[in-house]
Amino acid sequence: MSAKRQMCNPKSKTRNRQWAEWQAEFEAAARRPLALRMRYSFIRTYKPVLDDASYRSFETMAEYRKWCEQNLPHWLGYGRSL
Amino acid sequence: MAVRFDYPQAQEIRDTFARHGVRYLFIGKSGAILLGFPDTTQDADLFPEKTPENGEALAGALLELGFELTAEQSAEIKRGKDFVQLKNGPFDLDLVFAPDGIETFAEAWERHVEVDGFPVCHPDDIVASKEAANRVKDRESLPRLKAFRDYWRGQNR
Repeated sequence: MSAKRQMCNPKSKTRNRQWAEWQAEFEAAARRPLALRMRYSFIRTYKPVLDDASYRSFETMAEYRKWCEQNLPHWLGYGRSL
Repeated sequence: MAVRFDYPQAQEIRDTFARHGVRYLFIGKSGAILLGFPDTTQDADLFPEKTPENGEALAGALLELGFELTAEQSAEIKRGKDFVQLKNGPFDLDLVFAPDGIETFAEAWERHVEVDGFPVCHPDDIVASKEAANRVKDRESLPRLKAFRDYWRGQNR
């Protein structure tokens, strides 16, 4: 596809707009000091099951992924499919 | 519930781990945030080197930070089980000794980035680990994370 046709393509337009928005967000973040960036970024929300134990450990990452698939609510997004 | 992770907690990790000689990297979204990625997350993910000496140093540093580890839990950390989730301390911490998508700690260390004295995985490694994990939440955040990686590269040439 030519560059001109690509620019007129609605999907490309949406993608370009998305990239421009992200770029603006990255630039705004870069102007903030690290401590402020971290204050905005680290949040506390209760995650069912995941937050209900004070310690968990898994011998392998595969074991951990399997545990997430089998035990966490799917909407948390820790599984490979919803 | 532990306190929200914030800059002072990150400093505590950095300084305590340095005193104990722990070799580690910030990884995952917390690592990306240190690099400048504007997004949200709940806890910090650390990628410690998996060696007996480092495990010993790490367990000691975690106790000093205020994590309440039983003898058995300490032993698991010293041994370097692939994934350890800590919610028994002053803040939540995930220890990922074998992150998906990264071959060795040594390779990740060679590429790592320092931000205010915080050792952070290179954005390529953060992206690689999320691609390899391939969870729903990773797939959702990857396009924006990759865009940030490209932006970061442009700023750090």
